[in-house]
Amino acid sequence: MVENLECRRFRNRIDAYLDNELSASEREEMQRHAGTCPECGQLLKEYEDMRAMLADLDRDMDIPPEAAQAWRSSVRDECERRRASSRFGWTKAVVSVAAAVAVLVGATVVFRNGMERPASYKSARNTSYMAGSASYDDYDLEFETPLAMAATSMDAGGGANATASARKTILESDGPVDPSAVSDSATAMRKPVILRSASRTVQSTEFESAVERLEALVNGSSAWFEYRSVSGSTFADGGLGRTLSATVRVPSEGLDAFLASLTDVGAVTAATDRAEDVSDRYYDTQTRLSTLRAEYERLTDLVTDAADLSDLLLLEDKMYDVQYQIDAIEGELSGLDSRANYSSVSITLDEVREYVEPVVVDPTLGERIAKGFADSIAWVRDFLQDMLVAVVAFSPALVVIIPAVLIIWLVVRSIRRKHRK
Amino acid sequence: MQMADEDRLLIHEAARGDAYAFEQLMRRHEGRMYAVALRMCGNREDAQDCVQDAMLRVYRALDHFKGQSSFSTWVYRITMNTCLDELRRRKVRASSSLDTLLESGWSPTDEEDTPERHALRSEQKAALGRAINDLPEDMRAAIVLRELHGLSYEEISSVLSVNVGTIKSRISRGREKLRQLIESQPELFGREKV
Repeated sequence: MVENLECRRFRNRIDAYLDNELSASEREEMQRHAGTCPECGQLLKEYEDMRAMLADLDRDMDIPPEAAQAWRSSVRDECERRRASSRFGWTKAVVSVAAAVAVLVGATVVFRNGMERPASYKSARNTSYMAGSASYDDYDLEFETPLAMAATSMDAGGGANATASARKTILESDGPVDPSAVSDSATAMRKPVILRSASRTVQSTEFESAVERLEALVNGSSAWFEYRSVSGSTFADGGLGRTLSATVRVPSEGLDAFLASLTDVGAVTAATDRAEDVSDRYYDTQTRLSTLRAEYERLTDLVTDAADLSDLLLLEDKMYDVQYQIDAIEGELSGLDSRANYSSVSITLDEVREYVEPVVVDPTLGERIAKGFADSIAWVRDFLQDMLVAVVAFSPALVVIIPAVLIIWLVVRSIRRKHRK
Repeated sequence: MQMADEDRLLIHEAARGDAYAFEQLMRRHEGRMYAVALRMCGNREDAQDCVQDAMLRVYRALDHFKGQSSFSTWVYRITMNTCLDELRRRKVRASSSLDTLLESGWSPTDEEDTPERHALRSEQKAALGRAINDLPEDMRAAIVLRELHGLSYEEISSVLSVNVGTIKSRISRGREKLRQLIESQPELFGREKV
């Protein structure tokens, strides 16, 4: 019985003994029992022999050459595939981004050129272009004049030739434009009414001959002096030189030629050009004029039919008011016509002791960089705004496009997978 | 277990995709991987496939190895998982090819072995191999790692993701089964008894 208990205890702890997990005294106890009990001794021996054989079983096993070769080549293949796919991955990413940008830019360009913008948007753009007063200080003489820019932008707008020629009619007509004629055609198309003005500072060492040349230029351009005054005294009299201040009214169609010819008078040292679009004001005024004229005619009819004197007096009073308003508006219109037909050029002609280096012409590098940068920023801003509008405008089409692209992608992927298998 | 600096460098290089560094690194492990795979699968073809698969798994997962266990334990785990996956996938009871086991793993260590003695030992080993092969998969995995590869219980627990108590019990029962199988063949093992 005692022996059995000891044997059971021995067998329960035999794994711990084999795994060397027993304390020294426990080990001793195990060994003592194995020495006294033949069965347990035999059991321990069998376990120990078996463990020795197992430990020895694969000790010198090496991988067969073909197996070693197999895993090496599959790892190399994997390595190649990974490299290729990472290259492909980059290419794919770059191509995807490029394609997306191309589509976006393309859509914007198509949108800008092809698709019709709302009419109000189009005219608003042109108007703002023309109405903006352009100030080109000192150096910037070789600019495109605002009027020319306006004409260009309108021509580019397509279908604007008629508008341009209509504008020309207004500008070229000598007297005040017949408001009724304008109002008839104005309903069909509005001709821009643009008031141009410019100012120039000119320097010359020979004051008298410069003044003569200016007068000749004014006469030759069908222009006239609206105002002129000379101040200062000659250098010979101990003065600081004379200055001619003048305002010249120049036929608008000859303005550019006139301004260009000022260089014959002397050295142009400062230049400012302005163009103001007063179309809205002009046509609103015309509409008011038509209304008032119609009212005047009605009142005339009423006068002929008037029965008693008090009515007549009342009507005549009213007619006087209307006539007064008509006169005021016609005056305003003719003033606008005059300013549209004859541009105002302020000229300051300075007498100088020495011919001052014609200031100008080349802006400094810094100025050119700043201008170029500002222009680019403005262009990019406009383009991005158009892009946003284009994206929003095209978004309804995405309802069709996205499912189509998704289907194509799924089909291509499944074909590829089959192919790979 | 402290990882050798050389191993660390090779692991770093291999993780970046350097196949040559990977081959250098795994040269020290391929024999053990193959031995495990052969014991688990029971035949050369499957063992070769498993090693190949396990190597690819190690290569792909190398940049996730953060050294939380020893590299060798980690490699054992991947190898063992690959083998167990393979066994489950194929639903084949790992059947031993007698030839394979007879051929494999035997190299005479004692030059004074007589041909008879040599033949006997070969037979004993083959019988032992078959006995291992007859163990249930989980028991076999524990026995192979403990008795053939000398891993500690903690390492085996980490390789098989099973707690130490369970591992001890599997090994204990595995040893008992093997011993009984040996006991049942006294004509082969009896003569060796001292």
